[in-house]
Amino acid sequence: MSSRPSDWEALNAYVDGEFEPGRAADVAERIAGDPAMARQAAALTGMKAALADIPDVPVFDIAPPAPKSARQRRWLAIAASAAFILAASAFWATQFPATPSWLTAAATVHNSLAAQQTDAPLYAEQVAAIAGFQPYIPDLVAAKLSLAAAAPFPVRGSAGGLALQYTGTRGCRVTYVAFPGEGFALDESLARIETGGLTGYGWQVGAIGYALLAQGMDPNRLAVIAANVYAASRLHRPFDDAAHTQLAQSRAESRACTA
Amino acid sequence: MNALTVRFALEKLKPGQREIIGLIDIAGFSYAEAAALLEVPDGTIMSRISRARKNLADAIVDTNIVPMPRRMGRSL
Repeated sequence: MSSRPSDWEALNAYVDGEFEPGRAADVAERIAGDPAMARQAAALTGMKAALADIPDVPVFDIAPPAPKSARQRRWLAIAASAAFILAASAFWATQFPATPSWLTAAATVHNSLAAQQTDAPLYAEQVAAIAGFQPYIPDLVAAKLSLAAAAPFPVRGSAGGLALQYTGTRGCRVTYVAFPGEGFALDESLARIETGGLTGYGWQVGAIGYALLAQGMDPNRLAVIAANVYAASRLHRPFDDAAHTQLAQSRAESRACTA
Repeated sequence: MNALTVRFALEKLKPGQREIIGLIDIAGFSYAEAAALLEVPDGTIMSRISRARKNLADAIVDTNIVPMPRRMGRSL
């Protein structure tokens, strides 16, 4: 593996089928005339084949609908990415024994669900319906957070979950995941979570696990949001007036998000 | 090179490098799809995957796991 970086990158892209026919032909010609490069191409191909043989990834615990549009394909791609990271996190669990796999996946979703969906609320309902469970979906408008994105949240050992992302006007992003099943190290009481620069809260209501994560959000504001979502999810009802007031007040008194 | 060798070598990589290998080689995303997921330019994916594979190749060389030779038949 001693090629200059540009040659090595080109060889990788060639093996991955990323070049258009003309440029691929150029690389193929160079490979044909350079035994060292040919050995590298063969080694790369073998490595890709071995990686493809690694079992259990990606995993979809729910059957994804057939993608019909670029937007749908994008969301399925995000879900597949989350599924891969989830499976990979289980795979490398010996390195990160303290982090539940669903939490690793939730942190990944928090970073990948950055795009905006104008129809996120409808999409969230559809994903929940496909997954076959009825999670509590909070309306955080009182906290000046809008539902901006939704995606399936496949969790190993669960029948399939839902990931939502709410965005604010001062750089805040809050990721909310819900997934059916038990035994995910969640409790009926609200528990604080810290993982990979994210802070949040997790809890269990009946047979559904919930978590709410954010990065760089004022801790008091995050705590108020979590406490109200926790309470409302237990009743499976919209926020009452007192909750609306608390959410609005905590937002007004908080600083902008730093991440 | 087999899946077991690669599996142990993967554990030696940094999380970001495992991620890009996972997206491209295991999940089967194209560079453009991976770039959209990670919100980086396509060229960054090309750099990252080639660097990750270089490190994976080095890790494979350093891995002490060698596949057992296949038996061709039972000796009497």
